[in-house]
Amino acid sequence: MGSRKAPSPALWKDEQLVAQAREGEQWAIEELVGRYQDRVYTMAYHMCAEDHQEAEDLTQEAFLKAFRHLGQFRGDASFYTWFYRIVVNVCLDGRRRRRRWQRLFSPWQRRGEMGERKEDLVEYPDGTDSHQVLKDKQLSQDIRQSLRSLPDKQRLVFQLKIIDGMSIREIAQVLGAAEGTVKSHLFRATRSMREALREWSQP
Amino acid sequence: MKNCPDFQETLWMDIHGELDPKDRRAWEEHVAGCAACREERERMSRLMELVKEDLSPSRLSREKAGALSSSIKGRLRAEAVGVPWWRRFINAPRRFVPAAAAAMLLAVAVAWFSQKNLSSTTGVNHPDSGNEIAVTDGEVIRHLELLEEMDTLRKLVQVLDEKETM
Repeated sequence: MGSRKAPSPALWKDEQLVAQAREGEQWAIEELVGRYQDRVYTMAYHMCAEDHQEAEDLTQEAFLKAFRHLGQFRGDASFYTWFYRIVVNVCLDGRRRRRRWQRLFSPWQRRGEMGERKEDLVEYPDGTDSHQVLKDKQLSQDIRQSLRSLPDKQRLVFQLKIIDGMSIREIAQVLGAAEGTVKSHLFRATRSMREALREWSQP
Repeated sequence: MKNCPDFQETLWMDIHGELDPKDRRAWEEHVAGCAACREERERMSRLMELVKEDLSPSRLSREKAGALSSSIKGRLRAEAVGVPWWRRFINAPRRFVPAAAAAMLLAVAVAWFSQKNLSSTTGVNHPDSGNEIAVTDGEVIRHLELLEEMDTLRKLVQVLDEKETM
C-alpha cells in the first residue's frame, strides 16, 4: 500500500483514480469516496425511509462492496454507472431488510407522541417568516410522502433522474433494463408525483 | 384547461430534458399556439424544480464524511492484511449491533433454560418414572406461554422467508 500523495487528485478522472485505487493507493480511495459520498448518502437516505444512521451504514456498505470488486470493473461503462449499479443493489437490499424487520417487529414499534419524528421538531431562529417556514415544511413533507408511496422501481428511476441528473440511457445501464422500461417508470412516477402534489404546482 | 394528450409524452420528455432535438422544433411550434400545453409545461417545470430542490443531495457533515472515509479505508486495509474478524467487527455498520445484542440475549436465554432443565432432571432424584414425567410436564406448563410465542415467531419467520424467496 503506498502513501505517496499525487498532485491535485481532484483533477483526475474517475477511471484514473480507479486504476490507482486498485494499486491500493489510499489517496485515490479517499478522492473517490469524497466525490460520491453525498450522492450515495442521499440515495440511501431516501430509499430507507429517511433514517440517517441506516443511510450512513448503506453508504459505507456500497463503497466497501465497490472497492472490494474493483477488479471486476472492466471500463466498458463509466465508473459512475458501474458504481451506481452497486449502490442501487445495496439500497434495495437495505430496503428489503428493513421491511422484513418492520414486519417482524411492527407490533412492538411505537412512534412518538403525535407521530412526529425527532428531526421534525426543529427550532427556527428569530426573524424567520414562520408562515413561509411552515409552508416549506409542509411542501417538503408532501414531496417525501409522495416519493415514499411510489413503487421501488419508479422511485429509483425518479431519484436517479431528479437527484442525480442521469439520462434515461444511463439509468437503463445502472438498472440493467431497457430504455423503454425506464421511460415508462419515469413517466408513471412523474404522473403520480404530479397528482400527489397538484396543489403545489398551481401558479 | 387540459393539455393535449397527443403531446403528453413529448411534454414529459421536455420536462426531464430528454427531448430529441429533431422533435423540439415541432413541439415548440405547438406550444407557441397551445395555451393549455404551455401552461402545463410551466406548471410541471415549476413542480420538478421544487422537488429537485427539496431532494437535493444532503451533505454529510465534515466529521461524518471524515469518519466514513477513515472507516472504509480502515476496513479495506484490515481485509488486505488479514486482520482477525473480531477486530473488523468493531468497524462494522452499527445496524448489526441490535442484531448481535438480540442474538446474545437469545443465547443467554437458551443457556438458562437448558441449565434449568438439566438441574431439574438430573439434580433431583425421582424414585419412579411417573414423577419424572410429572416434573417435565410441569416445566412445559410453566413455560407454555413462552413456547407458544416462540412457535408463533418461528412460523412468522417461515412465512416471511417463503415470501422473500417467491
